[in-house]
Amino acid sequence: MIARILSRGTVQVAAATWSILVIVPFVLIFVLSLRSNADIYANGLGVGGTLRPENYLAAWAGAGATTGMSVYFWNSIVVAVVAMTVNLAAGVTAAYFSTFLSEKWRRRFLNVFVVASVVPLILMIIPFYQVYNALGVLNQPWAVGIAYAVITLPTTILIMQAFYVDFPKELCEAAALDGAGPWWTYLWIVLPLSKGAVTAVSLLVLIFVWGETQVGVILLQDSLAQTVPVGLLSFQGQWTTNLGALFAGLAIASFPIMAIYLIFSKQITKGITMGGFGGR
Amino acid sequence: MTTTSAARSGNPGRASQANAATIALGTMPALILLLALVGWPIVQAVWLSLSDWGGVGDLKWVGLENYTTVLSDPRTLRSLGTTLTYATASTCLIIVIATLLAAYASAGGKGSNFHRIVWFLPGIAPAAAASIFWANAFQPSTGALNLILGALGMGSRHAWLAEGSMALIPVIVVTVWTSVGFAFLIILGAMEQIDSSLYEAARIDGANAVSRFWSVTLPLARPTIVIVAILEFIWTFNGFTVIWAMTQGGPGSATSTLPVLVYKQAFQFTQFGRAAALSVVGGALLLAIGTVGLMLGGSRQR
Amino acid sequence: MFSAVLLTSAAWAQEAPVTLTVQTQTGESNIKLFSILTEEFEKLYPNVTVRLQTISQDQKVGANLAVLASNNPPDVGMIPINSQVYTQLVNNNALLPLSDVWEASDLKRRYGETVANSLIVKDVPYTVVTSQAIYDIVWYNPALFEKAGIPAPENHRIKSMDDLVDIASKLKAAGFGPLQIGGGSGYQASWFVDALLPTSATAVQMQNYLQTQDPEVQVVARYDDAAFLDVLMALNKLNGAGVFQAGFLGQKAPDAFAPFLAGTAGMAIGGDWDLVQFGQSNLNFEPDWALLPPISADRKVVQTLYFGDALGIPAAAKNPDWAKKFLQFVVSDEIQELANVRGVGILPSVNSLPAEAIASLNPITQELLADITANGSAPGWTGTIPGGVGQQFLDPLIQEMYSGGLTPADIAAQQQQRLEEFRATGK
Repeated sequence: MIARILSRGTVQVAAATWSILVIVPFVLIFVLSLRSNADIYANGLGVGGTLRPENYLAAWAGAGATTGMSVYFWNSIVVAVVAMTVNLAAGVTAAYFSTFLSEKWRRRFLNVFVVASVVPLILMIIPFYQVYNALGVLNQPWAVGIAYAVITLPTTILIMQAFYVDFPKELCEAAALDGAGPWWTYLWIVLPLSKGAVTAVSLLVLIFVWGETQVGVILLQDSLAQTVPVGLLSFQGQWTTNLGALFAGLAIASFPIMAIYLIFSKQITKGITMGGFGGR
Repeated sequence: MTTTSAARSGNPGRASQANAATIALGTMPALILLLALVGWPIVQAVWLSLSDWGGVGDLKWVGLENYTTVLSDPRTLRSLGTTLTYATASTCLIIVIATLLAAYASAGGKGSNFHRIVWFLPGIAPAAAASIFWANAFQPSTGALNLILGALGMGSRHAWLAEGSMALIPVIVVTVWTSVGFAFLIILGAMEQIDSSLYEAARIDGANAVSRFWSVTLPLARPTIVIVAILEFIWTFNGFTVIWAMTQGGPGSATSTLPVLVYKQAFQFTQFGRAAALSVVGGALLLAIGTVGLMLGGSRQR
Repeated sequence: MFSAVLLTSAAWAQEAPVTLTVQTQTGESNIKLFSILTEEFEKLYPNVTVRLQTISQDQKVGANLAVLASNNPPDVGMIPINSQVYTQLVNNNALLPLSDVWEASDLKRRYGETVANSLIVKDVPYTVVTSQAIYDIVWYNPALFEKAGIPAPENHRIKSMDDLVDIASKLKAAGFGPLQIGGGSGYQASWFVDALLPTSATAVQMQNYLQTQDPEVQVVARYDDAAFLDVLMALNKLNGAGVFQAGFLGQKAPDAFAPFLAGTAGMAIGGDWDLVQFGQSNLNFEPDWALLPPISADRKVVQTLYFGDALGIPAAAKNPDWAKKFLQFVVSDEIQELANVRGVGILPSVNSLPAEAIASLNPITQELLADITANGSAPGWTGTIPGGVGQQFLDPLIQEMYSGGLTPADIAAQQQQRLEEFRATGK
C-alpha cells in the first residue's frame, strides 16, 4: 500500500522533473536575454541586474556591419515557403494517387521513400554543393528550399498515404459516377477534406526547415543568405561581448516556432503518430 | 491496422477511377524529385570518393586509394568509435526516457495533456539554438548548470567540455534533451493503440501497475519502440548540429564523430575525395542497419 | 602623387552603378576598418556601392573555399595565406594574378622583403595585405598583479617558464584567473609554438621550418628534432603546472578573454587588435603587455608578427577591375594612415608611412613598435605556413596533448609525417 503511494509519488516527481528540465532552459534564455553582459557575468542565472530589452533590437539588427536576426528570419521564411509549396504539391499528390496502385506496387512505391528517409545526409552534402555550384544557385534560399522539400518528401508521403488509406472513398466514387475526372476529384473533393493532415505535414516541414543546419551550412555561405539555424552558428561569434544580445537572438530563433507549435499542437502530434515515423 | 483499410487498399472499384496514366502523372513529380536530389547525389558521392578533388578545379581519378587511406588512418577508426559511443549512448537514453514518459502519459497520469504538449517543445526549437544555450550552461563557474550545481552543494567548477574524456557527455545530454520529445510522441501513439481490455484482464489477474507495464504495455509496444530506436540511432549517428554548435569536434578530436570528420576533411583540409569516401563508409553502414532494422520491425507493424 | 592618379581615374570613371562585394572577418577591429574603407571608397567613387560580406573565423580557414571557388564569388575575398583555402585557390589558378596592382602600388618595396616573399608564389603575387598584427602578447592586469604580490615583468618580458608558473599560481591563490587562453578556438593553443619556436631553434632551422612545405626546399630541420620537440614539451609542462584557466579547452577565444576584460583574470593571450576592444569595453584597469618566456634562458623572445589576412580576387569575380581599384585604394599611403592608423588604431601593412603618422597610434602600440626596433621580430610559424600542415593540423593535436591523449613525441612524429605527405601531394 505504502509502496503504491510511494511509487505513484516518485513517478509524478519524475514526470515533473522532466517537465522542469524541458522548460527551464527556455525560461533562462528569456531571462538572460534581458540582461546586460556584465550582469550575466555577475550572475549566470540572470538574477538581479537591470532589464535591457534593447538586446532584442541589437540582435535583430546585428552588430556593426554584421548580419542580424532580421536577415536570417526573412531567409528562413523564404526557404520555408518554397519548401512547403514544393513538398506539398509533389508529396500530397503522390500520396493520394499511390492509393490507386495495387497492393504490391504501393508497397514498392512506399519502400522507395522509406529507404530514402534513412539516407544519411552526410552522403549528400558534398554532391549538393557540387550541383548547386555548377548551376550557380549557391547562396540562394529558394534553391535550398527545394533541397529541403525533397529531404522531407518521405515524411509527407508516409503520413499522407496513411491518411488517404483511411479516407472515405464514397465521395470520390459518387463524383466519378457523376462524370468527374480523378484530378477534379482530387483537387475539389479530396484536398478540402485533407486540411488537418495537410496542416500537420506542412508544419512538420516548417519545423525541419527552421532547425536544419548540416545542409544549410554548405549551401548558404554568404551570411546575408543564411537561414536562422545556420546564421546562429556564426551569430555566436558576433556577440561575444554582449551575451544578452546572443540570448536575445536565441529567443528570436526559438520562440516564434514554439508559439506556432503551441497553437497547432494537436494537428502536429496527430500527424506524427499517424505517419508512424515521420522522420526529420 | 484496421480491417477497413485492408479492404480499401487495392479496391478494384477505386482503380477504375484513375487509369495508369493519371497515377503515373500524380506520383511522378515526387519520384523525379527524389531521384534528382537524393538518388543522383548518392551516385555522385560514390564517384567523388573514387577521385581526388581539392574543392576547386578538376577531379582526378584515383580509384580505391581514398578508401585505403581513410580505412587505415587511426583517426577514422577513432572517429567511428566515438560516433558509435555517441549514437548508442544517446539512443539508449532517448528510448528509456521516452518509453517511461510514454507509459506515464498513456496511463493517464496527472496532467498528461499538458505533458504531451510540453515534452515535445525541445524538439521544436532549432537544435543550434539549444546547443548554443547548453554550451554556455556547461561552462565552469559562470554557466547556468554549474551555478545550479553549486547552489546544491555539488561544486561549481566542473568543466565537462574541456576534458577530452568527458566532453562527449554534455553533447549526449543535449542530444537526448532535444530528441526525447519526438520518440515520446511515437511511442505514446503505439501505447495508446493497445486495447484497454488487455489491461482489464491483467488487473483482474492481480497485476499491479509495474507488472502491467512489463507484461502488457512493453511487449505490445515493442515493435514501435524497436523502430524508433533504430531511427534514433541512425539520426544520432548522422548528427552534426549539436556537436558542431557546442564543440566543433573538440577538444582535440574527442567529439569528432564521422559527420564532423567528413565536414573537416572537406572544408578544412580540402580533401573532398577522402571526405566522400568517409561519408560512403558511414552511409553504407547506416543504410545496412537501417534497412535491416526497418524490415525486421516493419514486418510486424501493419 | 598616388592621390593624383586616383583622382584622374575618378574623373574617367564610368557612371554605371557597380556593387562591389568585399569579404571581411567578424570582430571589432575588422568591422571598424572595413566600414571606414567602405565609406571612403564610396566617397571617392559615388557610383560604387560596397557590400560587406562577413565571415567567421571558422569559415575563413575552411568553408570559405567553397564560396571563393563558386561561380558567384565575392569580388574581394579574405584569404588567410596560412590556410588550405589559399593553397587550394593558388594551386588551381582560382585567384587573379595581381602583378599589375603590386607594380602600380610599388608593393615589393613597401612591404619589405620578408612579407613580400611570403605573398609571392612562383614570381606572381595573388594577394595584398591590408594590415599587420602583432600577437602572442600576454596582456596583464597590473592592479591584480599588485594584489597578488607579483612584480611587473621587467622590460615587458617574463624571464623564464618557472617565473610564468609562479605568476600563475600566485594569481590563482589570490582568486584570480591565471593565463586566459581559448583552447577550444582552434588557433590559440598553437599560437604558443609561434612565440617559442624561434627561441628554441637556430636561425637556420627557423628559416627552414618556414619553408619546408615547398618540396623544392631541402629539409634541414625536422619536426621530430629537439628544437620543435622541446617547444611541445615546454607547453605540456605549462599545462601540467596549471598555467591556463580551468576549462580552457572548452572555451573559444572571446569566452576566455571575457574574464580578463571583466577584471577577474590576471593575464590573457592576445594581439594588438585587442586594443580596439579595450577602448570599447569599460575597463576598470590599465592593461599592460608582456611577452612569453623563452625556452632556454639565453635566448630572447621577440614580437610575433602576422600579416596573413590577405585580400585576393577570385577568378570568377564579376567586377575584377573595380576589385583591383579597391585593393590599390586600400594599400595606398593615405588610406593606410586614415583607416588603419587614425581610424582603428592598428598597424599599417606598408612601411612607407611617415613617422608622424605612426606617432598617432596608441601608446601601447608605440611601445610594441619600439620593442621591435630594439629587439627585432619574427613571423609566426602557424601564421605563415599552409594551414593543412600547420595551424589546422597541429592545433587539435596540441589540444589532445593537453587532455592527456598524446605525448609531445607523438605529436612531433605526426607533424613530421604530415610535412612529408604535404611535400609529396601538395595538400
